[in-house]
Amino acid sequence: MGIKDKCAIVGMGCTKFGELWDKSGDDLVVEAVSEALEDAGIHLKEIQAGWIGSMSTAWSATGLVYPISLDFIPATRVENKCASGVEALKEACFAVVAGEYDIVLAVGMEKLKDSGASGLFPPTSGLPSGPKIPLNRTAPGSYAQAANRYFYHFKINPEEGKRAIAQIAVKNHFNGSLHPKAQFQKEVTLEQVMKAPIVAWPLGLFDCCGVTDGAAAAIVTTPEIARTLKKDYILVKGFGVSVGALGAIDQNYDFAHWEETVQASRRAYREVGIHDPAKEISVAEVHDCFTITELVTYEDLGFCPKGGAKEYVEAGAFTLKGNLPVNTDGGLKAFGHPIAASGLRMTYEIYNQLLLRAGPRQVKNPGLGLVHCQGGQPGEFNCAVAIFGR
Amino acid sequence: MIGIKSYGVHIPFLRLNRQSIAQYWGGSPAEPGERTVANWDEDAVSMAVGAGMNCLKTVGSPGESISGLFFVSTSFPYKEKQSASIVATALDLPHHCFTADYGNSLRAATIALRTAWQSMEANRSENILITAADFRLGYPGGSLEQILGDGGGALLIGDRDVIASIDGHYGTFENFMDMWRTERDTFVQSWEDRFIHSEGYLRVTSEVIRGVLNKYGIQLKDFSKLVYNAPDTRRHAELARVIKAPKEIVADPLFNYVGNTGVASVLLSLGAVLDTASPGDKLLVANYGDGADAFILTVTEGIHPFQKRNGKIVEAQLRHEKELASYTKYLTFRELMQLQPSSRPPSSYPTPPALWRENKGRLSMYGAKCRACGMVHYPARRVCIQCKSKDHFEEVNLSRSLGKIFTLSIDHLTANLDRPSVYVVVDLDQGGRVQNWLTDCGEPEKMTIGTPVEMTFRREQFAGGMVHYGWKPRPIV
Repeated sequence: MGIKDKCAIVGMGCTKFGELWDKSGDDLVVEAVSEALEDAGIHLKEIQAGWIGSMSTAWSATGLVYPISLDFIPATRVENKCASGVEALKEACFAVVAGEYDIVLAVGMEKLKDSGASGLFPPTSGLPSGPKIPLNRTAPGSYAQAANRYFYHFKINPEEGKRAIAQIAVKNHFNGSLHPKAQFQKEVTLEQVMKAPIVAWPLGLFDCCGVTDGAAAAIVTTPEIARTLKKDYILVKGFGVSVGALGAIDQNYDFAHWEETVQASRRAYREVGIHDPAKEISVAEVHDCFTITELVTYEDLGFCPKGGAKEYVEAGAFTLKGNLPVNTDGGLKAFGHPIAASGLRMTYEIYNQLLLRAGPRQVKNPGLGLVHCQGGQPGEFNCAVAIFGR
Repeated sequence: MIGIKSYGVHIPFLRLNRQSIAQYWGGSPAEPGERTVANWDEDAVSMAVGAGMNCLKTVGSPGESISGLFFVSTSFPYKEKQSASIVATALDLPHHCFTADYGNSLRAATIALRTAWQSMEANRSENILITAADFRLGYPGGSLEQILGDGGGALLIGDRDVIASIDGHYGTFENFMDMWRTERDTFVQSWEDRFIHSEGYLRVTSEVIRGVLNKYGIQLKDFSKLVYNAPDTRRHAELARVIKAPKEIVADPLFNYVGNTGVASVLLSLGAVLDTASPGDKLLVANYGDGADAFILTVTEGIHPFQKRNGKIVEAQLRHEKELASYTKYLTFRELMQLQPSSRPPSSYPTPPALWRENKGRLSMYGAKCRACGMVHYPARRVCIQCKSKDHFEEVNLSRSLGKIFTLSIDHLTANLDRPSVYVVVDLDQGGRVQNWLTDCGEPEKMTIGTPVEMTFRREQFAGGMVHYGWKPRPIV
């Protein structure tokens, strides 16, 4: 059972990420899909079904069918906050493995910059009906709560903690500077990150990802068809999903780890047969909406011991030259974060790494690559993990 | 014996020195001292709830035995729609409780008191809780802006176990234009002060005091304290001269620390007197506004155990204060000066059906305790987080629960009017976890994991043409 090695990604596309004033959401879908089709070497008409991940831009799957003029195909919009992109890909893969279709399309797209706001619009049905969600809360405010508790929990001097997460920003900006499609292709120094205006301590401006427009797409098919199409494709090894919703109202949640990441990754590891992720994963793209998010994620993915991420960061373990390079394309931090596009953008980087197309960012002899997306805020995450190989 | 069973106040945490207002406008202060400023998330309703909670705290949990809730104010959040029902919901009073708003007159607190007293005299009521709060605006740069203060007071009136009996009353009405707000006014309007004080306040109040003395055949010297409201410090002293009251029996109107709190003023002053009263003390309480009321009270033996249990109620809140950073902060809190709009997406708000469903959860702050495993949840839910039992809960009121900060952040990005704001996760001692904004925290930097908090009823936002209320944590001092 399971889906390991039962489907393949034969083509991928990703738009430039950034403030794309001259492009609509439809343009982004067209560009991502066109690149993916060209990469796969197939014609649009060969697509049998499609899934689009979009949190607040596309309204139903018409947001996929309309721009690419594929009227009447079976199509579905998928939404699971920041995990929407991986969820769209997962649905596409499951459909192929189930034998329902041969060649399908998964797209993630978000057009955020048209809103003019520095934050996300709630879904249209988002009238809060209970006292659970406080008004005017912000994402950095929520993640800073976790950062402060994490430092307290593991007895980390807060200033040293801030310096550790700042190093993640420096790393991701450096990696982003090597990718021509990244939103921020500019290095930053540790001092710049440390001295940046505070948004919600310990998170300063450079600890937060940007607000971004972008889209990415994948063509999924069976390994048999993949072999007939081209030599360089990747195989899907496994998925893991976990959704938590109760931590903000449950005294048992410690605000010092991401349980959803633990559970989603363990599900994926089980499916793939991974026992020591730190050794068996060659390269990972993880959710770094804030630098603290990435720090805690290292631990919960099993890349380092609990409470030990700071030492690993200080030792450079997750840099391009480290043992387990993370966010080689700059991550959400530097590549940008168009919510539902991020999961497929991460997959795009892993795809390029596994196919040895990552240029100056190329990691040596990659075996397995991991994608980790996580929406929501501490205590209520939507987490999706995907693992790929050759 | 009918009288006061308990009293409470809500004195806002924030103060503004009159000197700093005067300095801003380049003048000298209208009065010495400081005034209270309602925090950005307070209004007359929330302050009345604060005073009511404070008043009920002193007598345990008598919610069940309260048959009437009066809410007194000249600054109701709604022109059409009762505010007393919001206060009664927040205080979790029984559904059959008789609720009424008393408004418009600055004397409305004693109008409500007279009604409560008379209804009890006629054996028509059990305990009646009177809550009064005001939140009036003087024109920026004017003297009223300095003289007025924000605050609330409450009295629990009953016919058993009273700490002060109500022995008599005399009252008048007078149609008189001294201070007013029409439908169109944001700020208090007033006529030329020599006329309004000589023919209004001083004449009418002194007449009512003489009237009550004549009616009951007693003299001013029979009283240990004389409690009365006034437009300001100067007129307060002037009335004492007019009626020839010895200085030592004139109660402090708290103008130097609180300001003139409108309808609540006389209750705050009375509260301060009760803080140190002794059995047998006779009190004369006079209140002016569109006429005047005068009450005769006698402090009972019950006062000493009450004081022993509760300490000095008014003084405790007077001591708990923080100087507001600047006068302009006051202007922004009252939205007299508009802050640059936040770049955040507009926040959504509950619609009337959702508000109605959430009366118990959002306004009365009921959570749910699992009957199977005992876990307490807030908000209440259908399925237990821990043991997954379904619809097997006991409702628990959490508004009086204390708690501790589990984690926090200081958020500079929020669209709240007070920025930065402290965003906290609080674990309640009774169980349950709340994530919300911390209010009334003097110095955000001093808040830490473990800081003890209590819940306080606040105005969360004005949205969709409605005022939205809820409970927020605040540090306990």
